[in-house]
Amino acid sequence: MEAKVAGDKKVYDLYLLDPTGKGKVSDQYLAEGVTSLKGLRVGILSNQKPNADAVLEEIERHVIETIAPSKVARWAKRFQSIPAPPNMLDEIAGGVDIVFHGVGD
Amino acid sequence: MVQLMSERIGVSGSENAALELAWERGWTDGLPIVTPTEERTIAFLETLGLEPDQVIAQIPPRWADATVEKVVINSIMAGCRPEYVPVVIAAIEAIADQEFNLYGIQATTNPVAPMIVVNGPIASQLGFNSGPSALGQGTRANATVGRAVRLIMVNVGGGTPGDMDRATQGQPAKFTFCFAENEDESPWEPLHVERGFESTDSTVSVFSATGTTNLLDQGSVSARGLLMTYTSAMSIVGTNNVYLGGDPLFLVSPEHASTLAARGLSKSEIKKLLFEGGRVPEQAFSRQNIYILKARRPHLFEDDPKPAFIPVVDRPEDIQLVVVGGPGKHTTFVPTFGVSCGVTRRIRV
Repeated sequence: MEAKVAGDKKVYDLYLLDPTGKGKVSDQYLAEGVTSLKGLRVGILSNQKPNADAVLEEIERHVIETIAPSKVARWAKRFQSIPAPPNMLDEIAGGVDIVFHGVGD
Repeated sequence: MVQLMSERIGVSGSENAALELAWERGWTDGLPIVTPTEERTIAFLETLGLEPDQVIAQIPPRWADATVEKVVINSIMAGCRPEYVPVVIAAIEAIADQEFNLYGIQATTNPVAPMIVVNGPIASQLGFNSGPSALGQGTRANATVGRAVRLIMVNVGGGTPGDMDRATQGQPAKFTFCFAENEDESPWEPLHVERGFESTDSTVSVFSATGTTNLLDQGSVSARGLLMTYTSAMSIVGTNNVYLGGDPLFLVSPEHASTLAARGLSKSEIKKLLFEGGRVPEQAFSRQNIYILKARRPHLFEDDPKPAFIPVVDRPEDIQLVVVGGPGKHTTFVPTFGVSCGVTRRIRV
């Protein structure tokens, strides 16, 4: 059986409904980057993956050596597969200028 | 007149063309689906008397709305009867509960599938299997309700294998894992009563199953003997539970349940015994895994930095017991994700 054409509209033999959901589009923008490393406040957020702390500790050591931040603050998620709670994210956003965060294994 | 919001997609040719389209677009679990036509969808909605635009839950990681319409479309695809849809709706509500951690379950490398347990009068009314082969193939309600939940997780939530679903290997239960508790042959209160519902309520409970292990015990004639088998099964290094806690389950056949309860042991007493016996020797872990264990369950090392045994769960009540199956001396051990809690929801008809 071929599709029929009715006027300008193609008519098909069978129609099925799309089972998928559409994600919501939200306005999210990248934060403005820091323009100066002087007096930088640095955050470290561990995702609690195995070896995440080892990598982040090395990053922290390197950051301290190279840019001498005014502050280094550390946070850790409870488990890697649960998002950081909103109050922790608020603390991070309000307390530091940049944050290093491990994502994935 | 029912107004549908989903896009209508036309195909030329026979219904095979619709099946091929569904496969091409990744809308299936790999198996053929029932074509979700407008006519079928409207018929379901009119039978159920539900508004199609009602939002049941947002499904991660896409956080798209699982509307009644989308639930019905995916239930049709799974092969459900209209009367199964309220069960699917309750299961979607349950998996979307924050305590279940669906976002983590959808995205993880671990092989996690929602295990759906149906309790109450609706189980027999709709033909859910709680007896022989209840965890296996052959029963439409068991097979299609679990399948509908998975299709919704994929199609609405975006949990597509290799994309947002990062499961390293997956497991067969990701097709479907749904059954009714064998309340008639259980010596104890059923799961939903344990969780605060009336016996006359109909409910679904969801748990984050990471696999199943058959526990064959044809020799033990006492609870003590059976519990040796059960604790041995749970006391292994490789479960998520030993690293993360959580709520592992024992799906107990009626014959094993009868043995366990023969001297009057209650569910809570059995759970205490399982908690005491469910421990892994510290020396069974590699040094690298002890480092991980200390990071994930630091409370286990507070009193003693080098405990001789690691308890699999944090509390006796974390262990779940559900009676299911037919004749035969088997129990199925179901370890769970660890960072997820079982959730129970009432089925509204």
